[in-house]
Amino acid sequence: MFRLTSYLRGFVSLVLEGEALEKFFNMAASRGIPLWNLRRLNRRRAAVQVPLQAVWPLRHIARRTRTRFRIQKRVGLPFLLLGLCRRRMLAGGAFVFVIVVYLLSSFVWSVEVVGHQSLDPQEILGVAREAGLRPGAWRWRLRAAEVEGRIADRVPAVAWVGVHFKGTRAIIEVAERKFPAPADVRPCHIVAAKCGLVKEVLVLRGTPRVAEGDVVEPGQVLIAGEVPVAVPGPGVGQEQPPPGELRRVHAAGLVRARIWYRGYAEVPLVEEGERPSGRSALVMGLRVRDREFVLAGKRNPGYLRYHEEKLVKRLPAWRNLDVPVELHIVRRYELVPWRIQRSPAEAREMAVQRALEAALSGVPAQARILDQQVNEVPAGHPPGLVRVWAQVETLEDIGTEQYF
Amino acid sequence: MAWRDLRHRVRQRMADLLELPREVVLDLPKIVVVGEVQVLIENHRGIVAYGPDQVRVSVGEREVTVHGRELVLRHVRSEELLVEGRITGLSFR
Repeated sequence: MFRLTSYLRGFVSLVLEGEALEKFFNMAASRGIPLWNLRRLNRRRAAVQVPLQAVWPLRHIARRTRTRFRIQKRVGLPFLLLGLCRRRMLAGGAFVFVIVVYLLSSFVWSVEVVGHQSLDPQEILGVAREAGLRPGAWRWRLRAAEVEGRIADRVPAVAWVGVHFKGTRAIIEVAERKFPAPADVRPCHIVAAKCGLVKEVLVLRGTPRVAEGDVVEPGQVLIAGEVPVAVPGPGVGQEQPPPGELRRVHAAGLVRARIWYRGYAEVPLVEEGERPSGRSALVMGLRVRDREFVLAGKRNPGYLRYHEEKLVKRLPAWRNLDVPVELHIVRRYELVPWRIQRSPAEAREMAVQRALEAALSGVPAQARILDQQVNEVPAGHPPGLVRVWAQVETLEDIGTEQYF
Repeated sequence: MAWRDLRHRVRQRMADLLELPREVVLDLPKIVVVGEVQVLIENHRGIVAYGPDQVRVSVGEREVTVHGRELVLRHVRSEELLVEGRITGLSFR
């Protein structure tokens, strides 16, 4: 703090010369002039630092004590300013620079649109330009709320718009309105996606081609997108279709059918295998031609059975120069055998569950499950195996649209 | 001389009685020595002589000498004086 204030107010280093320097210092101190870093140079000379405003009164003291002084160094802000006053062009240039940077930063240099999806950003930029927001516009004259209001008025597809500035960049953030998708009116048939037994047919538009109790195959037309053109007949309420003339429509309706899914699973009574024990050993070795040197780890970890992962690192071949040295990093995982013995009931339960899972994996989420059946296949070859077929019956909508 | 002695004694009694700091009442210097690097002398009467090896300061009726090497008067004001350097001794005369 003290250093900062002394720097701001400025101070000078003096070299004093005289016979009675002590007298000079005492007189200065008694007049309230602070002296810093007083240092004797030789018998007649001393160096001292004093604040800038004390130099003038020190002249009187020097005259009275017959001391002469010379200013050796000037430090501080006042001298800096004085130097700047002498170099007026430099100071002016610095000032102009600051002003120019400030002025340049008060213009909008670029306008950006973010958040648009199907909208054309050029359209938004065009409206913003009309509202005054364009590259080269003066920032302080722009009202973000005004531009926002103009864009919201002129572009109906915009649900919300926000304008903000990031430095010299103006960013128009838009959120688009979501319109409902237009209704599909393209003519089409409703065809079966799966094979099944038709349980009910509900036609909203089109001509039914199947009835309850029919068995349908994939691709078979369930509701045709063709209707006879109605011509007003002679009697009231009587309409007679002229033969052969059909109009194509977008068929719609529900065709629910019973579908069967099958799944199969088999579970052995005795199962054997190997699994990692969790122990592993790392071996690092260097292979030079056909010889191998172990650098770290044991060459043989002593595992009865193991599974190994080998990583070979070699120097990249350069032209026809091939360095016959490879670094081998081998990680060996110990394997231990396991064996599971199941009772026939356990194995059956497991097989049933797996078979049902297999059958249900093809059932869509909206299907209603009517029935589940499980059949065990009689034991044959091999003997220690339980085999199960599962059948799931569902009721579901099997219609899909097929365009002409 | 007797009169001065008497006055001195009365002042000392007063200082003890009122529990005032002695350096204030008796016009004594207060000297703070920080390690062997700094000596602060308050209530001094002026520099008598100084150099890189010793600084002599007048304090009231007596004189304090700071001995040392590379001594610098860090600052000099009318009421206090700060000496820095490698201090080797301090004596009164």
